[in-house]
Amino acid sequence: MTKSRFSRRQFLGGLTKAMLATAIAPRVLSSGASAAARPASERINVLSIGTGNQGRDLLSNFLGLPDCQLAGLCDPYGKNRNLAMQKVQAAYGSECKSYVDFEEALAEPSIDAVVIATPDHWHSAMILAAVRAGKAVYCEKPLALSLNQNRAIQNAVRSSGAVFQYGTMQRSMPNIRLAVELVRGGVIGDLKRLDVWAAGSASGGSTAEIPVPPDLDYNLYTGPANMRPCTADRITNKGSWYCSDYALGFIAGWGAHPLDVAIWGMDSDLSGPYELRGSGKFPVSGLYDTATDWDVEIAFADGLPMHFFSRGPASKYVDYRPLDTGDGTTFFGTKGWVSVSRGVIYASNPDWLKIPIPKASEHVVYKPNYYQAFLDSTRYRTSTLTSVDDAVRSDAISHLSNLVIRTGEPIVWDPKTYQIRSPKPLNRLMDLPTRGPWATT
Amino acid sequence: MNLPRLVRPFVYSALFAASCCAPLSGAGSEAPLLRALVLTGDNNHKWKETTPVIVDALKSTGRFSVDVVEDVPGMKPGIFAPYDVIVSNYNTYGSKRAEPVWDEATKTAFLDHIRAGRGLVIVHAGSSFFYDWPEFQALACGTWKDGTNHGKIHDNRVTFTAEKSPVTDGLEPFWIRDEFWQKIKVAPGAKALAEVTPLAEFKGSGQPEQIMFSTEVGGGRGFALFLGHDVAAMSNPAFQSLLQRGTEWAATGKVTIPPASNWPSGQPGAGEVTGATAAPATLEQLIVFIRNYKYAGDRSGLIEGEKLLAHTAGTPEGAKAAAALAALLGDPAVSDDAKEFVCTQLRLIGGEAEVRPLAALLKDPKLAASAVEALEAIPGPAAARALRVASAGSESGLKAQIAQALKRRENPLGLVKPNLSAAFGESPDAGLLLAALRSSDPDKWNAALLAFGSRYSSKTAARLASSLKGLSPETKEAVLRIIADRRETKALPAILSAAAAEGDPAAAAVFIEVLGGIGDASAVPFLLTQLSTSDPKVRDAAVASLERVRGTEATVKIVDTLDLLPPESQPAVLTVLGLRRDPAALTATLAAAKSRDKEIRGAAIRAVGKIAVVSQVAGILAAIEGAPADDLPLWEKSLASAAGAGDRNAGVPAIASALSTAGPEMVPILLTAAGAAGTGDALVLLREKLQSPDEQVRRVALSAMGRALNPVLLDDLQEAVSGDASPVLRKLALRKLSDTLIADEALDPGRALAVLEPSATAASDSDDRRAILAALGRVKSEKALEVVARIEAADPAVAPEASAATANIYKLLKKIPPPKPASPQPNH
Repeated sequence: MTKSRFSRRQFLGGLTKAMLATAIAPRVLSSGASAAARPASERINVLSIGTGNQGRDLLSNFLGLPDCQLAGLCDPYGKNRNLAMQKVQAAYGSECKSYVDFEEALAEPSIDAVVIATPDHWHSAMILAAVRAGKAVYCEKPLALSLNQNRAIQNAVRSSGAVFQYGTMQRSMPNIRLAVELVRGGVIGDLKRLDVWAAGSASGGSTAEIPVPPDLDYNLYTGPANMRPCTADRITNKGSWYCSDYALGFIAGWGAHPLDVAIWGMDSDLSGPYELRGSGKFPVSGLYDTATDWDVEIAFADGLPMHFFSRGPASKYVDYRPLDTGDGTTFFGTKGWVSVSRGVIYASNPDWLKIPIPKASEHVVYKPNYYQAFLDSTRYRTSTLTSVDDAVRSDAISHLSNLVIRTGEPIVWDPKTYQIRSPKPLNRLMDLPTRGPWATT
Repeated sequence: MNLPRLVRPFVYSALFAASCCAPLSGAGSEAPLLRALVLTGDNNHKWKETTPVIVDALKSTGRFSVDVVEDVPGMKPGIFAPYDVIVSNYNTYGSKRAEPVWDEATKTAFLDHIRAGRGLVIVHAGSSFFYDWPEFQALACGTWKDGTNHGKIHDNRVTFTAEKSPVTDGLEPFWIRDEFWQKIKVAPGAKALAEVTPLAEFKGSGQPEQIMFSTEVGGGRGFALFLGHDVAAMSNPAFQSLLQRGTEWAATGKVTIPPASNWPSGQPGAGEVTGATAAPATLEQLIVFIRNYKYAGDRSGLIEGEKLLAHTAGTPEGAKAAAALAALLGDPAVSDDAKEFVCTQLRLIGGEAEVRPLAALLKDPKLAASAVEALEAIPGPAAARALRVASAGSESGLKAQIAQALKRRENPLGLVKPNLSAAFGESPDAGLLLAALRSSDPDKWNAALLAFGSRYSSKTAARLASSLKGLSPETKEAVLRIIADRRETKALPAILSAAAAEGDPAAAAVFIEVLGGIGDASAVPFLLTQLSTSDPKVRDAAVASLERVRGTEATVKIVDTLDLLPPESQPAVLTVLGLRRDPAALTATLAAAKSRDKEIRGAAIRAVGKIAVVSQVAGILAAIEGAPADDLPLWEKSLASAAGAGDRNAGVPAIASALSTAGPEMVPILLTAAGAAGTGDALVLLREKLQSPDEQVRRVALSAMGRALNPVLLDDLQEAVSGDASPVLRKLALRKLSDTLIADEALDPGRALAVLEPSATAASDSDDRRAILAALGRVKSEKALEVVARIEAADPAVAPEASAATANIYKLLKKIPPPKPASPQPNH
């Protein structure tokens, strides 16, 4: 068990500083900002776990922050580790420590924060281990592979007071924030219903077994998932997105983005029971076996309906705006609608989009650099832009939707007791069995 | 269906197209029609009904013109010339008419014509003639011969093999209701294109059977589709497509005809096909699908099956489905990936009944992880027990997984807020815990349980146990289980008095189970009273717990009560005594074995076998004396199990002495026991009896030798193989010889050959030779290869076993087998 270098006393002291900082002048630091780098002793030591495409993308964002000291890279795949190390070398002129096994990396006391961008099946075990080791955690969406894993993460974070930021990153995008301001500020009237959609998983993928690449620790790569024959596509990012061994598929992997926007806009703790029903499609052959399409109707406790579907049905339902992006969230109010995706925003009344939003909004906490915001939270132990509670809320919708389309059964979910009210037998599927010694709940 | 007029000589044109569907492709208008000649006019199937279906199927493509000949024996050399492909729906199987005799000129004309780049198509039984014309049979790909058979007509799913063929290229597996042939005699050089696994419940083989073939011989092509038993089967869109595409390929070597748009990939039943996405609609169909599923195969049935099963979860139907699924787990013909699917489904629908088949998988390195998955989710103590038992003997990775699974079972985390549980302090106060356990707040309730379990003390346990009365049933159960896990004996008196006061049978069952875990002699009276309750579940739980309560004192207490129990309860208690395997119960069980009540006697004899060790062989022999003849088979088992336990030599003198005076009814029993002992002295007894003039005695001696599986006996067995007066016993000896060699871990090749070579000479039929080949496959010697070759040359029927044995021997020798001859072997 190791403790963060930022002790509780520093945390308490820092709290006022943090509050002052946000009250007076919110930090605006973008990647490559010219602010003088802090001395190394004051920088936050970050460990990057999972250095595939997304991991290296995050690395670029963190490497540019003067507050950040990238102190370690961890990946069981040598190819990815080396590509990431080249980025560190380019930024610092020297290499940082390199690890194959995350448990070894987490045992390093100087690490303050971890950034997890592994395949989803690893999230739970790594978050729990990192929280136990006293580290702050930034974890890529989606949250984890089972409802119980999600709840275990939530409990661990809550009871330890650990800093946890969910890696959805869109809450630092101005157009997303604008949509949420329009909803929460009542511009669209009272919220009546939502459309939420995302691209589904792809089908296909090679099933022919290949030798495990010599620079890949396949046992560690597989971790708590089922051990499977190694195939060419299995060990790519597509394999980790679309194989049910490692993920729920894009119903969670991409669904997380528009669902997070929905949750942010709804401003509800979603504590009342809600019902889901619908159908979906799964590939009947090939390596990938997660949902390629889904069409799920959700009725929240306060009578608010959400329609959650994939790109296939979207072309049928979304006739009020261009389908120019992979995902989308539309809020329908009594006065009109606003629909938002990464990079675009549409509204029934285009004038709404010109409404100036005050910098310090009364409705939402907004910080333009999602990664700097995480470092700030780490340093001052303040709440993060996307909390573990919100992560559990949005990811539950993906898990339950997936369960609905897999079993064909309508489901009533009770977030308060964290149980499926009906059909009760499905509670047996709340958790996911895991392989090996890693604790995932 | 109107039959068209006959066109002389012997051929009529089939003019069905007008009455049938429009051509599927426009090929007919551009390319010249291919000309097909259908042979029929005799067949042990309803050729008058099926021929029009074949003709229709071909003509409907717009690719063929079709003529039909009904007088096959009368065909003359000139008849073949106009045709691109000959289709046989003809045979003489079981017919009063003789097999057609084509003169040499007609035969030559047929072969020359086909070999000039044309084709022969066989439909179902269309090759059951011209058996002695190898060139014809080679083009026919296969025929009903040498043990071909079939089960009853049923729905099944046909899959395509890995063989590349334009006929099957791009096609999905399909369902058809048909008669499925098994062990078709395949002609050399034919490629199998499709297979099906006929279901055992329809008297099918349960093995993959090849049912569609193609071949290319000397420039000619052959295509054989053994599906299509009747009009209904032939109406299946997949059958029609395969017939059309196969016939086009036979005629031209290419395929342009598209498959049917209503391809029956899901729903079984010819004629009621609903489309490509249809899937198993019943449990039976799902089972068929799972049986056929392999890694990377078509998953459609599994995806639909998951819904089918989810819908039954928690209902009696779900339990039925779980049992049917679990039955697949022990079937070696079902793929590992299919079994994995079954395990995943049992997570949702499995119950106590599925624990045993799942636990059996825990020893299989490929499936253990999946079995743990399922066991983790199945509620009840049996699953947890199976996991704990498996954990003890498993390798570290699996052990860790089981530990995680057990942890999640006991504390389905996420539901407990650790900070709440911390509120109970380092040594939680029983009063506070009780208050929280009575609370309606689930978080508090969980937290209290977690605090009790994780900061456990005997004192608190005793206190909670004495306050069980006011708690809800699930709280009672949770508290009791925590106490039971700690093997807390201090709480025993309190638990016993609470159990005695319990009125609810479901709660009583929990008490009974917990008492089994922590109870001692003091729990025996309570548990015995539970045997007379009417609820079978409670009775079963009581029996299980009586088996588990600790100590010889408990055994003695059970024994003391035995006579006081009502007769109908006694067999269960005797069974319990057997399971306890405590020698303290031997006298009582031996006494009960003399009871007048047949049930009691049976249970007692079985118990004796479980408890007894060799030192008590003499005691058992005494008890057998005077036993009713009906009981002898039971005694035989008990004596054998005693003789085979512990120091196995110790019982042999008693057996030997009993044998010297035994009457005919006792000899088999004693010999079986000698076989179970299996030691040198015991085997001497068997050897002697193998020389007995009494065939029955020799038979028992041989069977017992088979039980010993001791290589010492090889020469005796060999002698019996070659010399026993009874042909039946010679065969039996050969089986035992083969079994002994196969079981011999340190097989001596020289010695094995010394007994196998003469056995091969003595072998009387193919089955004998198969047994020899099975053993030969384990003999690491060049000479063994020669012996295999000799056996195969003498009996071609054992060719598959011979080639398996050859492959094994090469493997043992670490040599690469020579390549197979490239040209097809002549048929004779």
